[in-house]
Parts: sequence; C-alpha cells; structure tokens
Amino acid sequence: MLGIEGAILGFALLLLLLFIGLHIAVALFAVAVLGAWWFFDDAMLRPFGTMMWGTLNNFLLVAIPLFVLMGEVLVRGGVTERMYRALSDWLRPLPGGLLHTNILASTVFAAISGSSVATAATIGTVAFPTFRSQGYSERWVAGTVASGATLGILIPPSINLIIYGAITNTSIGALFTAGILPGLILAGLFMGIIAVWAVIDPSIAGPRGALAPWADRKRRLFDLLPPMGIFVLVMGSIYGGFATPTEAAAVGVLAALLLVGASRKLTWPLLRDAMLATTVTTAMTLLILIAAFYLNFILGVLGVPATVSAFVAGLDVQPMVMMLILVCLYLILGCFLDALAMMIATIPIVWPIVQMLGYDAVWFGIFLVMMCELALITPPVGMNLYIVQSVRGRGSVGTVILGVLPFLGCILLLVGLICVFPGLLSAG
Amino acid sequence: MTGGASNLPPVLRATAGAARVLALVAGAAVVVLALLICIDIGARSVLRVSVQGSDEIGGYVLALVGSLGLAHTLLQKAHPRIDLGVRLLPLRLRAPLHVLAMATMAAMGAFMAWHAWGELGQSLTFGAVTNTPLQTPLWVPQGLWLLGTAFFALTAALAAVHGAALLRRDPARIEALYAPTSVEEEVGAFLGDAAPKFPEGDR
Repeated sequence: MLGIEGAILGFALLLLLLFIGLHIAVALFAVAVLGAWWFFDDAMLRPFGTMMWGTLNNFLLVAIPLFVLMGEVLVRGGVTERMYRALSDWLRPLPGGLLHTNILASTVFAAISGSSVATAATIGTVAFPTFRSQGYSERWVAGTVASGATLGILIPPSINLIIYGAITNTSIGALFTAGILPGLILAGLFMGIIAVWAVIDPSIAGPRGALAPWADRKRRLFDLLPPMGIFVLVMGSIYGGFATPTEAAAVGVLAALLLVGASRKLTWPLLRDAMLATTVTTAMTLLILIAAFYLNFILGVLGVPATVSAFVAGLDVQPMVMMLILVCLYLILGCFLDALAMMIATIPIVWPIVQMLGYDAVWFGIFLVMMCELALITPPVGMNLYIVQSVRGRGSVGTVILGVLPFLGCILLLVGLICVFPGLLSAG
Repeated sequence: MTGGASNLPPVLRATAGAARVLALVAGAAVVVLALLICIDIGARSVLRVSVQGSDEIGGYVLALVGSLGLAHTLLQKAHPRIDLGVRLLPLRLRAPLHVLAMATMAAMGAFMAWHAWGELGQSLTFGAVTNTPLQTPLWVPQGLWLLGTAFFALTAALAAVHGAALLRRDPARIEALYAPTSVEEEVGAFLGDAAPKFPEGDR
C-alpha cells in the first residue's frame, strides 16, 4: 500500500517527466514501470505483455479507428463546407448573424466527427474569409470557432467517451446518449450569449442579412441531409439496440464512403490520406492507452485509488465543495495538460472520489468530457486556441483567448447545472 | 507529407518510407474491417445467418493499427508531447531533451517488443488457437504485432542515435527534425491533406 505522500510524489514525477518534454505515453509508462519496480521488483512487470495484447484486442476500442475513418472521409469529401453554407442561409437574420453558423455548424460537425482539430481547422478555414469581408469582430469569430469545436467531444460519436467507457467499463451507448442533451444545451447557451451580446453591442456582428431566397435555401437544405442522415443512422442503431457502437461505426464508414463516392470525389489520394490519418490518430491514442492501462493497473495494485478516496473522505467537506475543488483542479490541470492525457491519467484517482459523492459512472464521464472541453480552450496549452490562431493567420492568440471567455463561462455554467441536477444526464 | 523526411539520412529515409507503407496497410485493414462488419450485419438481419468472427477480426485490426502504425505516427510527430516547459529553455538544453524523448520512446518500444515476443513465444509453444469459430492461430496476429512494435522501437532508436550524433555538430537540425510539432505544422498537415479536393494524380 502506498500512502498519500507517495501518491502525490508519483504525480509530481509524472508532471516533471511531461514538462521536460517526454512523449505523454512514455511519461505515463515510466511512472508505472518505476512504481512497479520499486515496490514489486519485476513481479508486476511480467503481466505487461498480456495486458498490452488485451488492450489492443478490446472490441470497444475498435470503434475508435472506425469513427475516425468515417469523419476523415466525410471532411475530405467536402461534406462540411457544403453544410456550413447551407446553415448560413438560415441563420443570417438572427442577431449575431453568421456567428451562429459557427456554433451550429460545429454542432452538426460534432455529430459526424470526434475530433476537435478537424472541427476547428475545417470550420475556421471556411469561416474567416467570409467574415472578414463583412466587418465582424475578429475576436468573436475566433471565439465561436474555438469554442464551438469543443462540442465535438461531447456530442456523440466521441473518442473521449469511447475511451472513458473502455477504461471504466461503462456502456458506450449510455454515454453517447447522455452526451446529446448537454451538448445541445451547451450549443443553445453559446448561441444565446451571442444573441444577447449582439443586441447589447451590435458592432460585434456585421450587417444583418436577409434570408437567402427560398429556392436557394431549399436547394442547399439537401447539403444538410448527409451529415444528419449519418448521425441518425449511427446513433439510431446504437440507441435502438440494433448494433453495438463498433458495428454502428462500421455502418457509418460504409455510408460515408458511398456518400463521397456518389459525389464522385472518392479518389485514391483521398482514401489514402484518410487511411493514413486514421492510422496516425488511432496509433497515437492507443500508445497512450497502453501506457495508461498499465499505470492504472499498477496504481490499483498499490491501492492508490483507495488511499486517495480515504484521504478525501477524511477531509469531511460538503459534496458540493468537493465538486468545486475538483472543477478548480481540472481547470488548473487543463491549462497545462493535453485534454485526452488529463482525462486518462486522472480517471483511476478521481472516479472513486466521485463515486463516494454519489454520482454514477455515466455522469462522471460527461463531467470529465466537459473538463476536457475547458482544457481545449484554456491557455497556455488549449489546443483549439492555437489551431484557430493558426488558421486565422494574423494578430495575436490573445484575441482568441479573449474571444472564448464568454463561452468558457457557458461551459462552467453547464457544469454547475449538472452538478446540482445530476438527473439531467439520465434522461436518456 | 510533412515531418521533414526529405532531409533525413538515407537509413532514416528508408525507414520512414517503410513506416508509411506499414501505416497504409493498417489503414487499409480498417477499411476492410468496416466492410466485413457491414457484411456481418447484413447477413444477420437479412439472411438470419450469423457470419461471426468480425468482432474477433476487429481486435486483430486494432492490434495491427496499434503496432504497425506506431512508427509512422512517430515520424509524423503525432505522438503528443507537451512543449510548454521545453519551449522556455535555450537551444543547447532543448536539443538534448528532444534526443532524450526519442531515446525513452525507443526504450518503451523495446519493452513493448520484448513482451510481444514473450506472448508470441507462448502462443507458438502451445500452438495456441483461439477458442472461437475462426480458430485463429494466435501467432499470425501476434507475429504482426511483434513486427510493428519491433519496427517502432528500431525507428525511435535510429532517430535517437541520429539526434545524439547531431548534438555537438548541429543542434538546430535536431530542433527542426525532432521537436514537437508546432500547431502551424499540425494544421498545415491537416489542411494540406484535406486540400486535394481536385487531386491531380499522386503526390
């Protein structure tokens, strides 16, 4: 058994290894191996091979490359750009105008992709040129693109939720279903704050446009059908119990291939790049997972989760205060850690605490993903901030940071809501 | 493709080429798997017969991606590192840290390959065959698994050696080749790959 001091020391070592620039997977793995060696000599190193093979044979995780491939094929096939234009036709008359398009397009895009990089880069590339010619506030455009892209990991399919489900043995179907409502509420909050702000200060948005002619809108409406159709197909078959998430993902891949093929864009370079990107994303995730599963195993053998939750129970604080502390802790961690690594590394320690406070596994999964969303847009390591800045290609990243602040507030508000009303997530 | 493959020494360039081929094989396996699962579902719901086995194959495909894909991912700088601390240091400290990152990655790869070898050895000794309708001889997927992890360890080791050799001569080149990707590169790679909407043949 390891005392609380030992646990903190181990965590400090992990942070040190991360900050001298080791690969995240190596840092997690090194801490695990050192712990195993220090306490058990080589007895706990021996099961590594079997564990690694087990991780790689996990049928739940097979959904990851399939969903990534589906998203890659659709993005590269140009489905996203057409979808963006179709949405902008409808949203132009609202206060805040095209800013809403960024949020809604991200929401729809989130439903066919599990990646924030793809969302932020794609939406940003389509959005910035359009906005510049119309006198929108650069700060708000950047803020909406960066924040909207965080919806990708909350709205299913979500790579983060698949990984969480695999680590904690939670039903991925239940997690996916639970992610829809908060995802939609969050998109609603985002759009609400844009509208309110645009009424108070109309200068953030360009001139309010009229609705596009009905004929145009109707024609472009068909561009929304493919992503919606794929979402309904994938989620419907999971929710209706016809298919496992992995099977649904495979159907999604086939649908994406047929769709892009039907528009005559399915070429060998497209398919090759999609396959390579799928392999890279999946291999990157799997290497971290192999290290994390092993670390979790060692932590379990050392009794660290029990030690930490006993320590927290001994503190005798109100559950709400404890949740507040956790949120603050994640906010700080999220400023410095990669979102996915933060999620994977903290699950074994934090889950027993949250369980003790009376929340269930699905709830905690959604909570964690929201913490990841915050991590994606908090400086200095908020991935989305830099992606948007790089797509924007001028000014400083400070503008993007100022731009996401109102949306950061929205996410925190929603986190507060689900803490007070945990039932919000069990509606499905 | 990014990753600066063009200014690598010949050995590493050949390695990068092989790594890309292995990654493509893994990616193609994912496409095939998707089709297999769809056939399975189709047969189950229309013909009321269960083909079975696609879930087992799914596991092997994942192992394929998670081993054959590792080296290419490394050379694409896609295994994430946090460069927050490293960025603050002067070049003469940054360069050795990049080499250290590659060397420790090689060590992890070697550890993985060693244990994959152990698993494969057991499967071979006992002639292990899965207890499923497919009766897969385990040495087939595990052999590919060993190949991928060993090749990954080799790639990381070559990169570490190359970096170490450059330490005195040309630390700036280590930075160019082995520093974590900047976001500009990452977005560039994404958009660059997404860009060929009007592809003019193979690049």
